Amino acid sequence: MFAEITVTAAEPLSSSLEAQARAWFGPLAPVHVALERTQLAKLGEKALSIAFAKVMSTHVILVSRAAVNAFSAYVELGNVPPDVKRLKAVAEAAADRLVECLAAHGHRATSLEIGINAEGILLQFGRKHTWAQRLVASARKEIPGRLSVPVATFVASIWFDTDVRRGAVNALAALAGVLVWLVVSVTLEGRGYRYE
Amino acid sequence: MSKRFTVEAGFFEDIAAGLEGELGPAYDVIRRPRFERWMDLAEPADLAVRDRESGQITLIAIKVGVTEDNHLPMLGTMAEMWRLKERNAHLQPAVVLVSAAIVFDTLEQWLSVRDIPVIRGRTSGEIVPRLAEVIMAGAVAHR
Repeated sequence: MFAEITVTAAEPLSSSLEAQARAWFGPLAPVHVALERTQLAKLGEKALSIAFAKVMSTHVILVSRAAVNAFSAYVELGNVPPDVKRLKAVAEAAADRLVECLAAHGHRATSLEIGINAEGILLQFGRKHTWAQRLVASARKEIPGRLSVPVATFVASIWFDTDVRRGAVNALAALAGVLVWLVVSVTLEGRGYRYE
Repeated sequence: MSKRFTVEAGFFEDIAAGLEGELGPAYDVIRRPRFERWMDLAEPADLAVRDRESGQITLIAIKVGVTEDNHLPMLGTMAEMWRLKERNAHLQPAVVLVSAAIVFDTLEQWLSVRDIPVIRGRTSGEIVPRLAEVIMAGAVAHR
């Protein structure tokens, strides 16, 4: 079981960023030592072009450049039983560190994904969204259901020509109420990862 | 499975059935070939295709994503494809990766160097013709 983190920035990342990212992960281990503790051991250090590696008592992190604008980090638990919760916690911490590193060097992460994989199957996929992305996602999910009754009432009032003004006011009030509720709930729900 | 799953239900079976139609009776399409004892697979693939004439075997790994724009894991996929190719080396298989998720350029280059073509697509209609082409080209080269 392993997790793979993908942090993508809007613009190409500077080539020196890998060296700078090392500082954010504290004491590092030689790549070949870290590789030996993972399922990737047989692939060989040179084949994978890993930028740096960190070995902890419970897990190993391998960070590599996936694209000109993206970092990829591989996280595998070692010497402990497979545990999705622990793997997620370790992967999220590593992902947050990568994002902090990018931000400190003037890059903005536009996408942050964590895939939890086992036996070649993607078990869970987590993504951290910005406030605006969460607002849009919540609006798409909530607005149709919450506005269906007021809008239907408004349409019926036009259809039967009965108190159209009241129907319009009701629909607008419902829309305003839903928007305020969405802003409050999205702001309060925190910036954690959402897994599917 | 999530309702935002990137591919339609039956994606895997559609690819298998599409390949059968595209390749014709000269090829065997084997679903979940780990259960085929005669193949002696050391590492299972999602699909296998055998050219009856030359005996060439093509092992196919099919990867899907959860959302439309998520990436295929880079190091994890490298490890998996390497295992598929190396552990089954006694069969001298051609190996193909089919992905419905985005594939990083670095990963695609890494696979290309190891003669593992990548076919990207989200519907069987996009994938099957290109996959059949790759399989037939491999079988011709093997003869």
